[in-house]
Amino acid sequence: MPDHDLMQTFPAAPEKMVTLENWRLPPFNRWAYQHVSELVPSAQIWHGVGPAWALPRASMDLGDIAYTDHTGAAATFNQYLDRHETDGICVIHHGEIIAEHYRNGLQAHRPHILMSVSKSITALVIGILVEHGKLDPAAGITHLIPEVAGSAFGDCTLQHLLDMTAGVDFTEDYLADAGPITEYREVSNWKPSSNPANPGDLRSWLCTLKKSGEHGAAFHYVSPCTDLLGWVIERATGRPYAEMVSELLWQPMGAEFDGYVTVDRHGAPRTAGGVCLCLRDLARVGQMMLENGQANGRQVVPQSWVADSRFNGDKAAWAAGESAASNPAGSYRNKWWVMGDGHGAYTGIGVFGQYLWIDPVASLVIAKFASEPLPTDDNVSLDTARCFQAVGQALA
Amino acid sequence: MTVTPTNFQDRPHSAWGFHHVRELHPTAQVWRGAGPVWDLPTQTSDLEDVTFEGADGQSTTLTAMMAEPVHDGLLVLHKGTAVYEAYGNGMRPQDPHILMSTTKSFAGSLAGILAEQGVLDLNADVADLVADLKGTAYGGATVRQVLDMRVGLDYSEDYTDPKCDFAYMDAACGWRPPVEPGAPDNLLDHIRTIRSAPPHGGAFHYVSPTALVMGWVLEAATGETFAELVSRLIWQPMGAEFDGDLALDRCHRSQTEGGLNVTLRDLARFGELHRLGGTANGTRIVPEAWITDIRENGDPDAWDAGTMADIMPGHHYRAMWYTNRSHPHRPMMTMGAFGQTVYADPVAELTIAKLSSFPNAGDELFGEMFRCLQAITDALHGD
Repeated sequence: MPDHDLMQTFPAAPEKMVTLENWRLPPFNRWAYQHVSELVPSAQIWHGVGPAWALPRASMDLGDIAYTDHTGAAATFNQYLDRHETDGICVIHHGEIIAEHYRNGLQAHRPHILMSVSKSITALVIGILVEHGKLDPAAGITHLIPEVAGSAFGDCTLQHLLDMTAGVDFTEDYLADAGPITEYREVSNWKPSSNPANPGDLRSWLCTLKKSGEHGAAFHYVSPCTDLLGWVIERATGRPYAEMVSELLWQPMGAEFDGYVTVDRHGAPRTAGGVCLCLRDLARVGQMMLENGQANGRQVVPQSWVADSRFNGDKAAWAAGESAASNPAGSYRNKWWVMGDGHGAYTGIGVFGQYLWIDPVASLVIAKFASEPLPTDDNVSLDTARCFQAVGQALA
Repeated sequence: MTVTPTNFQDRPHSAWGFHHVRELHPTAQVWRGAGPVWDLPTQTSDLEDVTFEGADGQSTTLTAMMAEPVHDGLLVLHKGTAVYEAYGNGMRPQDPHILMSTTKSFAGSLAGILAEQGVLDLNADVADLVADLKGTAYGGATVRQVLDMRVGLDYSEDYTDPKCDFAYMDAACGWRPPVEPGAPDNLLDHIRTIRSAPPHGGAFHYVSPTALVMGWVLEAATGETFAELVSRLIWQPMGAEFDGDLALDRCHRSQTEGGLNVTLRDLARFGELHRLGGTANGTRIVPEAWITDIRENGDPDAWDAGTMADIMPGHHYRAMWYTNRSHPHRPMMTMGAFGQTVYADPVAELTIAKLSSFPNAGDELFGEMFRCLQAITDALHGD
């Protein structure tokens, strides 16, 4: 059952109504993150007609696995789930689903927003297209997208976008209620337009972003870079992003459910954060990464792309970047956060508590959906890493 | 050329827009469930050569008709076997297509299921079930009167008049630009503008908001959304092959008058279960008595005195389905603007689903479509 009283009557009382204006923030996100298509237009990511990639099950109680939280106090896996507005968690160990829990009314068949774990999905499609010879990571992108020639992206490469090392004048301030990030929300259909007569669109807006610093020099997390990757995928293939995710990833992987991605007024997908998937399917993506790109008996993502993502992060760019202080050992490659821990763990991370954590040494995947009260919180990030690392230690 | 939320009903935008509604508007998932698909066996036929009078008055064939870029899908089931399945305008088997007012018939069948379960009282005042309707023109109308579109309203639904009352509804749900500044921008506020014209229970009066009321009554009676009801009571037990989706207005109101999107095959399955008297693949979905009531108990006088008798003489309207009572087979059917229909003929053991992007909401192409349906009936049944 939902643990809130939003949208529970017909109609909802005004103060219990989730709207395009309020959906991203608490308490409304508790309902909204599993009903995104009801708020924002979206394109279907079809799972195809084939059978789902079957994952065997084994029961294991992870609840008492202990970690040390950011205050230094002892805590357990169950306490972590309780404290962090968990909507769903699916854990795979050695290819078996050992835990799968839904909370807050989420159901297995209901897609939940990935936020920036969307980026990791988008980059996998890029990796497949690189293998197909349709894209070159080292190439500039203006030959594909001449529209961005005069913007920050005029002289950047695909790899800069993949690694968040493009020098772009943009601040990722999720709680700002004015400035570029609110424009970003408006043009991507995530917020009512403040200028309904001329609401703009995501891709025109991308072309207005200005350069700041040198490309390739430092890690600088700019979500719109990943929306540009969605545009690159569509240009390189001549097909809609949602269809390419379906055809290159979702169908061959053996996804069990359809997913979707939010789109702007012109149909441009928000590939940086608007992908919504069912939890088990997100866990399947993790298992595929663990199996070096193989899923459902076939090579879906190139093995070399998985290895490149895990091992080839630019340490110098990371050290020069904005996130080094929180994890000096880390790096970022192809839209994955590489932890730099002893297990070689890496993860996709989305605001408000979305994770796809992969621990190759423990053969562990943790897919987690949440609707946390804050978009980012260093303490929560620390707790999450420690908790998931403790699970990895326990299962290794 | 960009298809937008407010131009997608116009050619040429509708040729893409009608099977991409979820990319234009907020929609709720209609889950197909985890069960097996109701398998529809296929068999080749010579239906493509069936001839009938085309829109231009000349003889045409099914193949020639389907080559015109206003036909998005046509599926013919004969004795449960798919003997013809074709798509146009780039629509694929997995693409949900807008049903327009065929959505209303889903509300009608759901009402029958819930009435049988004792969840819905057909004699209740709809304003007692949906508090928002108190003080509106719908106050005092019974569920039965709403189901049969016999509510006393002063309302014009003329698709050729961009200033008629319905045009305001089309804008209120965000499917058209505002008719005028300050007009309601959501469906409930539109319903509040509808004028009363007593009494209830008189002539058939086709008013789309009446089907909104019906859908919201179902939601209030069950505490579930219309999308959840279609999933739980029809899509899952029927064995739908694909998820559908339902458009919502900006206040999260279910567009139960015309916002449902489903694939061609699943629409055919929905028709087939009615053709079979309410069962799908052996599973009871809609009470048989409800379907018999639809085909037998529509009021011919209410129809003859109503708003559609001149264009469709000899029919009746019951529980949001049409029945052609002057046809020897008494086929039941749905009709949605721009050419969305499912047609169920129990005598000929025939079900036909048709999805279209006709240039006009009430297009002359409907005439061609009905002649096509009859030609298919004659070819397969031949009485």
